[in-house]
Amino acid sequence: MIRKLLEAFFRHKWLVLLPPFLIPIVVTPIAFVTTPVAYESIVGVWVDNPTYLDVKSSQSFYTSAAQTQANQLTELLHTRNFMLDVVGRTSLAPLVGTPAGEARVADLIDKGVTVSSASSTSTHLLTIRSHFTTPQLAYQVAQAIVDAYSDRNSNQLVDQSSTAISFYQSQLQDAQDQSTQANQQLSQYAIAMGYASSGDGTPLAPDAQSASSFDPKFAELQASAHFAQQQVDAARSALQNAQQSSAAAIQGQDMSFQVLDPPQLPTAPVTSVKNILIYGIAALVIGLGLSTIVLVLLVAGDRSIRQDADLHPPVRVLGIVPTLTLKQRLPKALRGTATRRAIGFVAGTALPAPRGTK
Amino acid sequence: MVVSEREEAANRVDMIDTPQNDAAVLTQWQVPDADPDQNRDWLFPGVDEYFRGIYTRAGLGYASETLAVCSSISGEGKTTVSVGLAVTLALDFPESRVLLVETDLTKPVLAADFDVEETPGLVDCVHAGEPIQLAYRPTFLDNLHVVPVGGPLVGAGRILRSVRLASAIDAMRTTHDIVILDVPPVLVNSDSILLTDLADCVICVIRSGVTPLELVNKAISQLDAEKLRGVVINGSESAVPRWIRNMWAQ
Repeated sequence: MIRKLLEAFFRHKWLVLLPPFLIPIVVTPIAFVTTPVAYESIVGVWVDNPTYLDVKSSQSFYTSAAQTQANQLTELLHTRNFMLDVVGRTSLAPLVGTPAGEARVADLIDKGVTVSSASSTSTHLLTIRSHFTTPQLAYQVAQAIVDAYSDRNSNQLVDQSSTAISFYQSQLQDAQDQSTQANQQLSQYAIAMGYASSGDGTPLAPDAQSASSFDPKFAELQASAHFAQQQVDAARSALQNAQQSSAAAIQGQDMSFQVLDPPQLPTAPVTSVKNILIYGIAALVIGLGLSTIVLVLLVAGDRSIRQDADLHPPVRVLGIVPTLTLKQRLPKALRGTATRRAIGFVAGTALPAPRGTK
Repeated sequence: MVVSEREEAANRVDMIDTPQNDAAVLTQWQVPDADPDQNRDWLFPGVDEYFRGIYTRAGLGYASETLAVCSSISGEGKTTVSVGLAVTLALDFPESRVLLVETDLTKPVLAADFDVEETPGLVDCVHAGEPIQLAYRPTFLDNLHVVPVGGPLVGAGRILRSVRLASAIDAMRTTHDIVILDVPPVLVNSDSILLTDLADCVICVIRSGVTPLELVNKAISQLDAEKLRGVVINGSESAVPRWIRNMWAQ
């Protein structure tokens, strides 16, 4: 089979090799001409891993900040909410009113926006490429992505901070309430027992300080009031810490997403080398496939006999005579019978002797 | 005038009953001038070995036989193989007398190939009832003669089917040890079946890369299996470069 394939390939090499050469030669210029003009706006962003409030980072130690943010941004761009947020900031906003328009916008964003690390070795530099048919749209989308992502991160941190502060504030309020209640109980008991003159904050009698030593109830109320005060102090401290962390995170947000190269309005179209290459490679693959089909068809369709193995049923082969072609130039009249005359010239044919033959 | 020519012909036939007289009769034809380079080697060096292998495997040359060289369709090289076999046999067996007979009326080429007179040929002699020896043409090889088909005649196809043809072939057997009949394609001309029936053995020529297997099988099925010595694949040529073939062979 391999022998037949080789034979067919070399026998029809031009026919077999034509598709892989011809199709890319035809398709690539067509792709070059027909590929729509595109404009590209590029944003360079210095990023760091997202900062959260006292939350253990789930980021892999081996994933760079640029990769993390790129993955996050790419995933967000595939969400309807974020995508609509981005589109709403651009001239594509009118399209989002209908399902078909949203699908169209999603397709445009999917094909036109590329988020990646600036290079394979880049750990913090993120590149956002916006590739659209008009310079304004390319610029608007790039800017909108940066703004939407930045706003989203800020809002997220503010939400987290608010939640944390609210939590600690409620804890402080509870602690303060408990402390107030404990102090009131202590005061009422002290007044009732005569350890204090009134409940309006008048200091206890001098001997009241030692009352705890002989009055267990009073000692217990004193301890409760003291513990409640400690809880208030702890809650206040936690609230202060949360407020400080929140402020630091919000300020740090600016540091973890710094737009170093803001988007520019492109002034010249970019050559879509990638598309042309894809078309060229696809044409080459198609050409190779076509060649393979042609080769298989040539082998399958060749029912002629080239050697004894091709004879079915087997017949005794007495000999195989190769193609006999005279290298000498002959008169036109002799060309039809040249081979026979050359074979039989020793018997008297009139074929002129070739030069130099003895 | 016609009578005198026939008488001359009859006299000539009387003279060629024996090989010794044959040469004298053949001189009536204009024998080509002796080629000064007659002793030179084949124009295709080594090609005689191919034909030598064919007749050896076919068992020819060691007994008096009539060989029919046929093919399934035209253009397969049966005349080339016939010429090659005739010349090689004549060279290799100088004591044997070889006769190459052309029977394909549609494409007569032998006269042109050997640069001899076209008429009278096989059909002329058979049609006129004249001795077939009148159609013999000499060659540079003393023991090789050729018979062009002759004609053209109206109804020549019928002549090949006549009893006279069988008689003519019998006459050829008497004058020559090896008679090679270059017969028409089996699937194109039904005369070839008759001619192969008159022969002692048959060789079928197949053009490499041209003749479909189905046609070859069909042609072979029409031949007498006992007479078929085998097939010759003609015009074999591999398109694969030699270095690849060598690599493959290893």
